[in-house]
Amino acid sequence: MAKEADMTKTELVRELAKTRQKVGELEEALRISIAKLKQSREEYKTFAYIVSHDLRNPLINLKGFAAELGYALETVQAVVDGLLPQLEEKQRQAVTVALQEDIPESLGFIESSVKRIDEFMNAVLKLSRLGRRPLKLEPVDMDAVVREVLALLADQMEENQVVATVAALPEVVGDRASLMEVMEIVLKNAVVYTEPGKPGHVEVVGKQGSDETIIYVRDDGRGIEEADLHKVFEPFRRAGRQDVPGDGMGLAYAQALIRRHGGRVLCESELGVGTTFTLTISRNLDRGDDHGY
Amino acid sequence: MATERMVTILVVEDDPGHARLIERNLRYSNIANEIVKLGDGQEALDYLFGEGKYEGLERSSSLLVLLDLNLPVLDGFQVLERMRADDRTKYVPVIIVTSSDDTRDVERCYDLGCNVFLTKPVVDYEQFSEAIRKLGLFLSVVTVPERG
Repeated sequence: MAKEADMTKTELVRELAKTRQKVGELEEALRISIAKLKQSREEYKTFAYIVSHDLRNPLINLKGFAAELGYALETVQAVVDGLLPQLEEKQRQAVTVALQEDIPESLGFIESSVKRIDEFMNAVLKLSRLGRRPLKLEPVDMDAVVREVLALLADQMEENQVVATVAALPEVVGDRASLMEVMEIVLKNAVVYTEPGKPGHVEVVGKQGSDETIIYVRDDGRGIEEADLHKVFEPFRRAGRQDVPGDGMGLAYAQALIRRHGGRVLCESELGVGTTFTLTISRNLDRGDDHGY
Repeated sequence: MATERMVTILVVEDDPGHARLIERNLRYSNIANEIVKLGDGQEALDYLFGEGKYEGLERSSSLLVLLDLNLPVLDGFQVLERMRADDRTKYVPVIIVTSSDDTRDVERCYDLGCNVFLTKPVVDYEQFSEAIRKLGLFLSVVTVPERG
């Protein structure tokens, strides 16, 4: 019996050593993976910045020379107007169509396309900047932040007959400007995506967890279809009826900023019932736990 | 008595399209000023200090520099820094004309001693065009007395 027990003990010790080694290897693999992830995140941010920044130069030329063509067209137009009566009917028509319709229309399409690319790149640039700009960490009274944001949204709330109730919210450590922007994005969504004609109610409550502070923003607005839920955080994507102006970037910005605060943004929704956004903010940020997005 | 000279405009810009757009808009104001286009930061300094391929150049003493930031060889910050550190170019007016609107770039340029910071807009080209034309108009009527 004693011999058997000894053997089991030896086996256990051997197993333990093996497991320890395996854990060590896994830890090492995890460390390498995290380092790789951090590196690719850095590369992505630099790439987004360079692309959106450097593409501006050829775009400035496109827009600039299109405008220059417009100026040249005016000069030509002024001279040609005087010459038109001397042309044959067919030529006169062709020249008139070219100068008054085709060329301005072509320039119009070039200019509106440049504008769209520019808006797109500015959004990518902003998203990349949000992930890079340094956070100024300080104690932030979320209650005051939410009330300030609601004051900014007062006109829209009145227009859409939305009333907000704010429970006492906990204080967090974070970057005030970023948190203000996040709350503005989330609360604005709650206030504008209502059912027309139906009064709305927005509720903001908070909870202090051991590692994170949680803030819930609940509305009883139009809600989001389940199949569309994944779209809401994706850049340039929008869910549901497109009757409210927007570029589809708001929640992508909010998510980038909350991730910098070591947190997450979650969205639960039911069509026709309402939407709840859950925001978490790490309570360990003041210990240098800054997170890139 | 101070002698008066017409300002020579240096356009330091590596994108030939941008340089041409700036030149065209200056010319729309019917200015007779000399416009010199330089494609990188080193060339700009060589021109200013009469070095390299500009050795022995008798350049105008009245200058206005339109300086891009993202330039090959030496960037706009380096050019501005060298200009402000040298007695020969310390007081030459420098207008930064760049596609950047990054506040860090703006602050750094003013810290280094630029006179004006302009961002080349993408969509509002007409406004930019108007600003450069007005600058041309302004330069066509001013003459700068020589220092000393």
